[in-house]
Amino acid sequence: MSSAFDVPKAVDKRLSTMAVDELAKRGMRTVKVLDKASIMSLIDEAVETVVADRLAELKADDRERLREEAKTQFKKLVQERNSRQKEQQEAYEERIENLRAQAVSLEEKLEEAERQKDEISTEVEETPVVETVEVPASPSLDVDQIRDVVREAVAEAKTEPAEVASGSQMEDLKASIDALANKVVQGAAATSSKHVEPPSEDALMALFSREGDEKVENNLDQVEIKNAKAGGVAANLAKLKNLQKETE
Amino acid sequence: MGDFADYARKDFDKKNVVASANNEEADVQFNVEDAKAFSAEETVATTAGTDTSAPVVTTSSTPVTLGRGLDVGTANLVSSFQDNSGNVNLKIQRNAFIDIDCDDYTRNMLTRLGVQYVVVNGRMVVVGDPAFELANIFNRNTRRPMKEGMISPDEADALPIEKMLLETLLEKPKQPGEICYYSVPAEPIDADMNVVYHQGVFGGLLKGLGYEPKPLVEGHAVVFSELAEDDFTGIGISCGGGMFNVCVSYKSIPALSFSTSRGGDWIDRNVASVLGCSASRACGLKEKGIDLTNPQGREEEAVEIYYRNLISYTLKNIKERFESSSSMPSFPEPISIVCAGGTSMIGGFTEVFQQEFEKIQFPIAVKEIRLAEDPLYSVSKGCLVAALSESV
Ligand SMILES: Nc1ncnc2c1ncn2[C@@H]1O[C@H](COP(=O)(O)OP(=O)(O)OP(=O)(O)O)[C@@H](O)[C@H]1O
Ligand SMILES: [Mg+2]
Repeated sequence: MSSAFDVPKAVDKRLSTMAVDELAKRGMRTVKVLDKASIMSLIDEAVETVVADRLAELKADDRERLREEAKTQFKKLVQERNSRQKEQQEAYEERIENLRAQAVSLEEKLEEAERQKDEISTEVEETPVVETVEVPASPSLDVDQIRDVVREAVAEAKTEPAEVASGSQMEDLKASIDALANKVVQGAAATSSKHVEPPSEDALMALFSREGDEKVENNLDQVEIKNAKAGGVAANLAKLKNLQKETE
Repeated sequence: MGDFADYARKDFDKKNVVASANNEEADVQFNVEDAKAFSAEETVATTAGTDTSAPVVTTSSTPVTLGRGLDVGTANLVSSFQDNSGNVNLKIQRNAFIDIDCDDYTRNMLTRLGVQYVVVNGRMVVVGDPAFELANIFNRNTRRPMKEGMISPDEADALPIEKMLLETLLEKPKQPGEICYYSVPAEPIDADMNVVYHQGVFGGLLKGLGYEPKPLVEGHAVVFSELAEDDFTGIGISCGGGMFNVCVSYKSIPALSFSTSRGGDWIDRNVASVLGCSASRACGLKEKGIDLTNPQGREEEAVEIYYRNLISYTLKNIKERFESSSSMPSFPEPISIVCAGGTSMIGGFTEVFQQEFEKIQFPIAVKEIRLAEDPLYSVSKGCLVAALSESV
């Protein structure tokens, strides 16, 4: 059998091996592991080659046996390849899981920071006028918002389970978690240094006067506001006036 | 002039509201001279069908009567005015907003959804009803400028947002100093909260818009809109999102008013915690059309339990307050209790109210427990009645 056709070798020759990461880098998101039809034709080809060698000696069932042997070899090959891919997929999922855990702990830190902020403001509330009019320069943190980012990221990573997450997806996820971490740090700093000042009368009036805010980008006049009509109040008004006259 | 105005004025003065310090005149009432001077070139006419002494003004140029009502609520803001055919027109906004990161993706998305936005401090802010819808789409909670009936101390952006919301609800006054009565909570009995500051903030806001602001306790507003047939004698209860406001009135004069910091939000929070879901979800469940007299399943039962608890809590407080107060008028006739506000709109509310009422020895004879004609608009309408009665 020295001249026997080495089926796996032939296939390997035809298949180009490439790391899944490499494919992802090239922008390939879907990896078709093996095309069944071409495998079959490859097997046929292999079988035909071997058969050509021993044409004379072979009977029909030998030919069939040979075909089966080759098929089995290929199946093995396919399975090996699949399991390698699965391992890779699992590794990615594990990384996503880790990132998610990281985000959850950030969220907890944030909630803790907000609790502390609450405590600070309750303490200050004991002074007669407590509210602050100044709008803080950095927008306050929103736990829901963070939850959304995480939920989105995880959902995105899981949309197509058969697919291997690409490098760029992972980068996006990492970036959004980094942004989150940044916010938590900034938010905590802003919280601890914040002083609640009672508003002066001037500050209140400035805030409420129309002129102060002409520059604000605002398209509220385009918003449709819910309108309603209700029963008239003329009778109430008349009664009230009468009553007021009586008691005068 | 009406005693309620005196009451409101005393209340206003007593609390020495910050923003009212700019009033050169302490007297908030208008007398006939003031009024004439105010509307010198306007034609004064009375609306057909009303008492001739009712000082309703119509002008040839503006089809609107002077005087505005504004219900400042934890859940909803409702403004009202009267047109010259006597109809009450209202505008309603959710007292809520949502802020989103300002980026191109969000811009496009909001545009696609047909949602208007405002950029504040580099964040995109959507206010009112669209904010509520947006929050539901994204399964987020809206931010609320008010909490338990008052401007929220935890919400740094509350003031500018309220200003924006009010601008969408009230146009410029028809005349400088047009009266706008706005609802304020009565003194809360179960929470240590700052009504004075809240009242001052909204007074200042309305002044900034060019109105003459006058506060009216919320329960009293219900009396004005719902108890005319009883000579403004009886009990008005505003069952809101943040609180319940109660006013016992005798001939339009409040004998007792107070608020409790339990309302629709309290129900949502409690139902959410027993069912292990979000408060918004619990609120959706509550508003979807439950009949309290016939709850279906665990979730509806949870809503019913807390409703019952809330109603009984309110009734007990009225009873206690009434009995412990020394200067209660004696009511010669059985009175009516009228419930208004969004929280009273659930199916079976008056039935459950009646059942809980029967369980306690109520100190006043009651002939009827009923719902307001327009529960959501009742407070705003009551404020409008007060404003119209003082506007000439
Ligand atoms: N159909 C309904 N069934 C039950 N509850 C409802 C319904 N519609 C609205 N609500 C509830 O009514 C509340 C809002 O009512 P309303 O607008 O009277 O309150 P508000 O005036 O804004 O608040 P407050 O007076 O306490 O400051 C919310 O808790 C809302 O969930
Ligand atoms: Mg209300």
